[in-house]
Amino acid sequence: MFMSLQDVSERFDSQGYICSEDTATVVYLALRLGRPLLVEGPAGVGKTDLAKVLAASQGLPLIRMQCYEGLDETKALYEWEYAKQLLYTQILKDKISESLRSCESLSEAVERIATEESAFFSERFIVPRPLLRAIRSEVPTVLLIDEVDKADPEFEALLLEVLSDFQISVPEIGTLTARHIPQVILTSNNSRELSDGLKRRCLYLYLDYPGPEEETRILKKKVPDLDERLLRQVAEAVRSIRRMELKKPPSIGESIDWARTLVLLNANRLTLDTVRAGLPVLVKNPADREKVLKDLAGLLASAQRET
Amino acid sequence: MKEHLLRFVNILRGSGIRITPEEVLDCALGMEHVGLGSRSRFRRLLQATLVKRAEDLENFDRLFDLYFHSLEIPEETLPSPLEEAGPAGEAAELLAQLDGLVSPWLRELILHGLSGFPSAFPEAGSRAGLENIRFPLQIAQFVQKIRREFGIEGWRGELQGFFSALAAQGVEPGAVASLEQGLLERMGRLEEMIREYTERSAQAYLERNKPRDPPAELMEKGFGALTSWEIRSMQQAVQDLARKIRDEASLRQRRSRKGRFDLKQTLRRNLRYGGIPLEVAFRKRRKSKARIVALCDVSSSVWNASRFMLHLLYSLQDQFDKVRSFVFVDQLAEVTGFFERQEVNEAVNTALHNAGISYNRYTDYGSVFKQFHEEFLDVVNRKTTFIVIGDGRNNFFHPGDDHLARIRSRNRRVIWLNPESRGFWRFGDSMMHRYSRHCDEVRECRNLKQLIAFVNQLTL
Repeated sequence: MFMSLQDVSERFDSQGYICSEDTATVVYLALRLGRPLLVEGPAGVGKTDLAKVLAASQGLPLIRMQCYEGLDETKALYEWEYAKQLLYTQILKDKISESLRSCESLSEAVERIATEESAFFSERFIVPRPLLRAIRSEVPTVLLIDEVDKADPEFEALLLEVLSDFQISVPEIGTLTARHIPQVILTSNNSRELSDGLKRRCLYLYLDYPGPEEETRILKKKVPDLDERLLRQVAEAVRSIRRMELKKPPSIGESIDWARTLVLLNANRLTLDTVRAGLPVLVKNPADREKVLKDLAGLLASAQRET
Repeated sequence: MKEHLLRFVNILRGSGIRITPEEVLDCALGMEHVGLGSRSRFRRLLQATLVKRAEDLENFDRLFDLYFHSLEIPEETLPSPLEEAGPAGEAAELLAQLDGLVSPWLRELILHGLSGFPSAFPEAGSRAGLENIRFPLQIAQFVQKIRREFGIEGWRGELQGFFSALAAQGVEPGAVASLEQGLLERMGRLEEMIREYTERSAQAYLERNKPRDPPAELMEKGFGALTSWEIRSMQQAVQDLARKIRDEASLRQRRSRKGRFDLKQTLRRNLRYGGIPLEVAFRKRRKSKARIVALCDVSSSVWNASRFMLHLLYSLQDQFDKVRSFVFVDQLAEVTGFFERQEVNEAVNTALHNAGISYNRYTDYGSVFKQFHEEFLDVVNRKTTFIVIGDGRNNFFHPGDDHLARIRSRNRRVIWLNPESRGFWRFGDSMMHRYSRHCDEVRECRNLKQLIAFVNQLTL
């Protein structure tokens, strides 16, 4: 558990994740208030990484659930391992007939089996999926529910129930309650509006592309071989490209990759050539590429001007 | 501070941000963890607990700045007038004796200066009814009301009484004079502070109390009557509506009755259970998506209808097998490419202004249908829904409805959307009576509401 806001920032930093004070504030609040945290924003700004770093910086295991259309209870909560149950039944056939030997009638035999039901319907035969795993974990965990906007609205209702009480009821066994309440992070690419109920339950963080200073710090951390001034130019250039209304603006990962290609190219300045060489890394779409090429000179000028 | 929070929540709700009591509680609890020392942290606390939609963030920021400016009113650090004037002890005693002479707020001013006032503004403002302000012109009125709350009107008279009493008690005139000076300065500053506070709080309340333009009205306003400002503000609404349609469509798909029992799939799935059919598989009914070809009249009369139609079609591209669109006046040009290369709004603009046809001509449906038949017939097939958006007014050119008939024979169906009132379809140069003979459906489509209803049906 983090002691203070500074603690959050420092430990994240030591894990290599640079974030704004705003982000650290909201993370701290979510932990203190015991609320799940919903992180929305464009692709590639570090939403998933936030959860990973949250786990790593506290030394907690990360349980990840990737959402997709059609995700349902069996893949999210738990599933019965029929095969294992059948196998056990086969193996114990002899034992079973032995314990039923004393039964006179069929109904008595059924009764006898019913009393032993718990042998075959116990936690042993449940395949726990991420949500159940997070709840029954012996140690506190960080639960990442990734891309929750890809799941169906019906699934959200299920999620809401689990996140409200942190318990799951399995009809045959009973209610399984959490040993430790997990720290929950949900991410969304905002491809659709999430249900009200779920949003109300969570604290909300909108993670946007970083500003040039922050991005420079990130680049410095990930690509320390490059001169700071050049890194700053890279950050400015990427910012200008993002402003260009592309179909797929470059993410943070892509700007890091570009910085790395500059290292490979042994570049110490941004020139038209180095920018052009870096384009395949930054812009992955022919229409976008054309747009950027059209204004290459202007892009370069503004990046150099700012630094 | 909790009161401030509640008032602020009220303002946020007024501007359309939905906040539940539970979230307000979260916020209040969070205050204990984050503290009030830093404005940015306080802002982040409020945002994370109260604002859960990305679209509301801008609004929130604006209202936060308007409302919480008072966190920045500098504390009055000047010594109290009494201390300045001299033997504070004496005058304070006198003040106590002369209790009836000065009203409580004036007493506060004399003894402690201005420091106690700012925190009292909100209360005074609320007693004056500042929350109900509706027009900027009322600001002056409210300033007066707040002044009355503090009883400022009577202060001059009371001060006179106070000073004479002081003189009568033998306090030296010099001290009285400088006391008077200090008090007058502070009163002037207080008036300023009241005015500033009222103006800035009023702004926040005005925002909230503004009669909001209900989008419902815009939805039913005829296309021809929309101003460019309204069009811009509707574009976001169109995006939201498209999203809703998409969500509904996918819900419908999922809820549709499951298909027939699928033997092969069932057997395959249950191999691991030794063939016992523990899981039953059904044949999924795959819905075939429609192919759309849209011809949009972009002469000035039908401009807006076409704009929204294109916008909707492309926002919902994934609901259709393929959307190909064309614009025309008296010539036809395909604009599908723009939507592939540009973002929706930009593409719509290009289609309406820059598609490679002359926009200043007179609409000629006949030539257009002929051109389509000659050049683009391969675009359509038995699965296509062919949509024409236009008023059917042909400027007395050759109607060319035989071309439309030939086009229809190649399509699954032809739908005509007309932004003009049905009543006008028989007058003047309208050829609707001839064109409708070759259409499977003819619909009036005068406003966004009707257009949305139509697009909704298309996705069914």
